Amino acid sequence: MHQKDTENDIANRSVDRHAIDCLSANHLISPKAREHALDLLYGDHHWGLWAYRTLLAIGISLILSGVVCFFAFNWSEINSTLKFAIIEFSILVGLIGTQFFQLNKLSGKISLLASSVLVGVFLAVFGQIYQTSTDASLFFILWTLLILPWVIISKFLASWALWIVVANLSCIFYWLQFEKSDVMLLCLILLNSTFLAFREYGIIQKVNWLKGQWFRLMLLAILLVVTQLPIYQFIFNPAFSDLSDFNAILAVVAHIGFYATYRFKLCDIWSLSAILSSVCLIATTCIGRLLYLSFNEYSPLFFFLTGVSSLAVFSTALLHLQFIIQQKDHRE
Amino acid sequence: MIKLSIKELLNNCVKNRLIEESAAPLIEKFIYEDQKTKQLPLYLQGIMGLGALITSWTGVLFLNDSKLINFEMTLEILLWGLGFVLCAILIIKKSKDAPQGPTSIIGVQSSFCMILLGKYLFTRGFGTILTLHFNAKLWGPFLGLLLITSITYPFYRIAIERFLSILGALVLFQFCLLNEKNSDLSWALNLLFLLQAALGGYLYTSYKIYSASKPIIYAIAANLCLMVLIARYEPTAYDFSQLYDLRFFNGVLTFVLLGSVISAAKSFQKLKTPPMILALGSVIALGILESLGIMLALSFLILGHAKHEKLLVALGALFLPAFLFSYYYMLDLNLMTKSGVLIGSGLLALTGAFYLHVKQLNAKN
Repeated sequence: MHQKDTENDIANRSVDRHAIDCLSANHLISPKAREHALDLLYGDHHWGLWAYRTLLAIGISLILSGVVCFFAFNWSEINSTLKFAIIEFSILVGLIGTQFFQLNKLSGKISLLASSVLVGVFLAVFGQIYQTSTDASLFFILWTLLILPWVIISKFLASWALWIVVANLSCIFYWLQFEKSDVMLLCLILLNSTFLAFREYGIIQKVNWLKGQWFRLMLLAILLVVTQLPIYQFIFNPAFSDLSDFNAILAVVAHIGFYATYRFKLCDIWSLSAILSSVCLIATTCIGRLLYLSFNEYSPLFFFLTGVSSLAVFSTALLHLQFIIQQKDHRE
Repeated sequence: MIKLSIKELLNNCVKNRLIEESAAPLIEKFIYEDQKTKQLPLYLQGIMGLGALITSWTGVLFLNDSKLINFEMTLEILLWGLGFVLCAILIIKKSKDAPQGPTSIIGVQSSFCMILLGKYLFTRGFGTILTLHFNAKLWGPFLGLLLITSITYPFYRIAIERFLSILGALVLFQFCLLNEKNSDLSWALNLLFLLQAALGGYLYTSYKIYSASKPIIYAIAANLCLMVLIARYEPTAYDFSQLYDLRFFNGVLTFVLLGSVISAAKSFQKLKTPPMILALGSVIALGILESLGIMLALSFLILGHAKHEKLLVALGALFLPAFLFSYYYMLDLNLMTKSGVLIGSGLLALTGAFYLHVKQLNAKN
């Protein structure tokens, strides 16, 4: 009975790429069987679709770069009307392309993305011609607001990625002009947390176009960086300001929130690894700082204890992650 | 990636007559055994590597500050290095390569820190000895790292450690040649480039050793990117272009990309189809235009996609924009002509996409 259970257990385990490669290396399956197994595991190559998407992305990027080069060369020689006419015409071509290819196709979405980029070029040219003496933040804020409707209707992650980058830059430049880095960090944490929360809510609601894993990792990477900064500020310079202390508390709460979400709700190991790496770095820095304050110098004992504690912190994180993986495997 | 059980996979292969029905139980058992000893996933190795770097660095500072090791005595450093490496191998053997519990994971992590510390000390000691006796400059550390990595490679099987060590040795070798500032050594750089491309291609296509040699393949891929980047950008301090034979690199990369396209086609019959003829023609055109980096990044994309190697695809996708930018930036043309070339090549790429669309080759099968 027990023997039969074990056999069933083996047969129902999921197979991975490493196992197929090892089977092939040990001559247990032929190269043809290996290819077939990999195709089963990963699906067909769809070379045509792959080449089409690659060519489309390269083509649009090169044309946009060409437009930028054209302006750089002829800057002083082109009159203002022509400058605006060319950019506006390019934006229009992008929009006609979107209408022609339709937004449910990749080509239509890329055309709209190109128009969104060109809106930024238009604003830059506008600022230079009319010497509006507006700061960089207004340029980015306007860009963010103007392209928002297109980004919403595009349902395209690359457009959202562009929009999020521009929105973050707006926030950074806006608060830096007042030299308020604390408020800037608070805004960045809240802004990006909102984006991430909407993205995950969309995933729970089964919104298909939001599925790209890279988008989640991009947002999480931005968030982990902006939440680490106030914590480091608190570790090295506590009571810098009330807001910086609040930011540090918020950043800790955010880390706990991310952990809880990706551990219990969405169970994504890649995201959990990124969060735990961030926690490990913070913990090691914190311990190092406490040790330095105790010894008041960089003594051999300080280096020894810091090394041992970093070993302990990272090992604990690894153990915990392994436990989660085993739990997940068991559930599945 | 689709979740597929061993049973489902074997049934499918038997149905398609790719394996004998009688071989299925043996394969099942092999996969089960393999899962006990398989490498740690990449994300775990990433955290492990980050922790090991911090711990080993504080270890070096501790040994230096505590005067436990006299860093002036080169032989002593070398022996300490060997000692740490030996300890690291013993600990990992005890942990049985696959961490399953607290003791083994702490063991693997400690061992990883020790091997980094040991390799640093050995390389430093070996390098200083060669510099003192033979005025070897950078050659000493390179030979030290090469020697210690060759010794540890069969015994120490953490992929990220193997990758970092091999990449370190390759980069050091390249800088040794550049540091000589002797244009007569150009052939050595050419040979290094050719050998890397050939070895990388062989290992990538070899079914027997592909899995075990992944760290070498990725180290070669990363170093090829580095070589092309350095060759394209000429620093003001020293004109490296005297040492890099760009035409030779270009020739090698044209063959690499041609090989990638041909291997993706799989059969000679497919090579005769119009899309493949166009693809091969485009490769030759890229070769004539001497677009080294673009060809390298495209090779990574094609080879990675062909073998479902997501990491290689990511490497290609990361370097393609960088190489595209560098290619057009380095073109010896004024901005107006450059703008025309950029728009022209963009339109050409879009024409290619349009062709695939018209022929309905861009649909999922």
